[in-house]
Amino acid sequence: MKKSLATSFLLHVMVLLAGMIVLPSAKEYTVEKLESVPIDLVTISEFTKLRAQKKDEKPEPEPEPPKPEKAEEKPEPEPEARPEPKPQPEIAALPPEPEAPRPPEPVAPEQPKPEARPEPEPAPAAKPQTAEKKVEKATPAPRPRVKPRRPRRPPVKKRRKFDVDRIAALLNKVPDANSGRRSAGRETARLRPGEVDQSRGTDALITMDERAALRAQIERCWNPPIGVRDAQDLLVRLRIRLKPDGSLESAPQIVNKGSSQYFQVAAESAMRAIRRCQPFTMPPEKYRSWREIIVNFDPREMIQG
Amino acid sequence: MNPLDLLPTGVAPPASELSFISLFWQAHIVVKAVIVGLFLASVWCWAIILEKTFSLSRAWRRAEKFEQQFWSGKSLDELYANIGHRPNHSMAALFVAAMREWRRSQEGGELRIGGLQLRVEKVMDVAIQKETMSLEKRLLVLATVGATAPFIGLFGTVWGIMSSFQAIAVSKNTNLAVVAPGIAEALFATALGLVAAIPAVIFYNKFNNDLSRLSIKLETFADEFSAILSRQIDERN
Repeated sequence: MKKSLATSFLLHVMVLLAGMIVLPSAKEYTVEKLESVPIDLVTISEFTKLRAQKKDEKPEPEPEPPKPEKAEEKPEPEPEARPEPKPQPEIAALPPEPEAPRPPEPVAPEQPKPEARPEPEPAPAAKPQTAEKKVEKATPAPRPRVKPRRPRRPPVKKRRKFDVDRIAALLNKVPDANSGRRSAGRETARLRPGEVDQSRGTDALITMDERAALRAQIERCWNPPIGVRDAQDLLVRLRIRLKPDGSLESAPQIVNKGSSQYFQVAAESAMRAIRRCQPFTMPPEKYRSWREIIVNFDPREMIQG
Repeated sequence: MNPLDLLPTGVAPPASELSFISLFWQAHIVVKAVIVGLFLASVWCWAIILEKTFSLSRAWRRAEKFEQQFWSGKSLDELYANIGHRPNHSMAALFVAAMREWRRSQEGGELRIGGLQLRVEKVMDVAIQKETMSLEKRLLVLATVGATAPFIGLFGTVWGIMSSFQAIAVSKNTNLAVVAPGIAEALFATALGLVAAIPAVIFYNKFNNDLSRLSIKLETFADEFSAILSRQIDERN
């Protein structure tokens, strides 16, 4: 027994030694170095931004004639826009769009406007004016809403008619990008309420959440002019400059002109709303993007809800 | 980016050596004990295996050889004289036990035949039992090791994984470098358990089979021998 025990022990030691010699240590796995792929976590708001951007891209190349009025406005914002492109478009979207719930509703009893739109019955004196205005101005004010729908259909048809070269270009999507650049000047003008120019977007952009928050802040203080006819002419665009703490740096400027006699009233109410609401609470780290913003006050949105 | 850059400075980079030895020295004390125990069990098992292999094959060979001599026509007394009082294998021990009883019953000149047959068979039964017992000696160790070594190794593994999870909890870092050594040493314990258990089980079964064959051979021989003796007894009567 002793013999076999000794041999067994010897055998084990030999196996261990052999194992140590033959398998000195684990081989390192040589991992091929892969280029790291940066992954961004996208929040819902950023995602919606991306989608908004896509919407914008399509309408841009469209052949629609930019309205004369807006064209005039454009030259101003553009030069400013270059240094800080994002803020302007974004803000434009803020006020008008969705929630017009609180302030406008009290107006409901009077309801002059909704009636006025379809058929200017109530005010005899006003009729001629409104009628004319509708014919003339119907184009400028309402379009912003209508545009998105119309433009998409026609462009498709037109493209189909185009030559083979065009189609190839479409496939490459090169034309989109180019046309986007060309029409960059027009972009700002075409921005509808609710639409945002994100084409130059970067991470410094204000997100939808923040935009909505700002809009809520402003709406809280805004008493839109009540009982005014032709609300569609009363779109007021204000350019406001803010300090980092969210308060006004200088008095808000009216950017657009209104032909309505009540435009001044609407503009005043908008200015009042801005003054009353300051300071706005905005993310300070994105100050660059909201230092200067344009706010659209559209009574129609408020009234129609 | 190199994943090592992400390691907090407090955490050492993965151990450069992952050989058996370094794995063993890094292991927790319990895991060390398990590994040492399994190593000793393996040594002991193989010692038994070697010893049994030789002793069983030797016993088989000698039994065959003895059977040849037994049936070769020699007189039993001659055979008994040749073997002497120190039988060196089991069948010879059987034969010697029976012959001794036979001789003893003839002592004093008178043959005590009554019950002689019975006595010889009893003696041979006892001899067979003794021989099988000595041959079976330590065989149970193989069975035990074969059955329990995997569990012991598993215990070491569980303990090692426990400690590696504790390492995760303490360092608050799920990096592989924190987890891997513990798991490696833990798996090492299981591997050792299997290394010890597998040959133990295989050889236990083999030896069991060999032993049963040998004991059948012994019993057959005992029956034949008692038949011869009973014939002798009848002739003397």
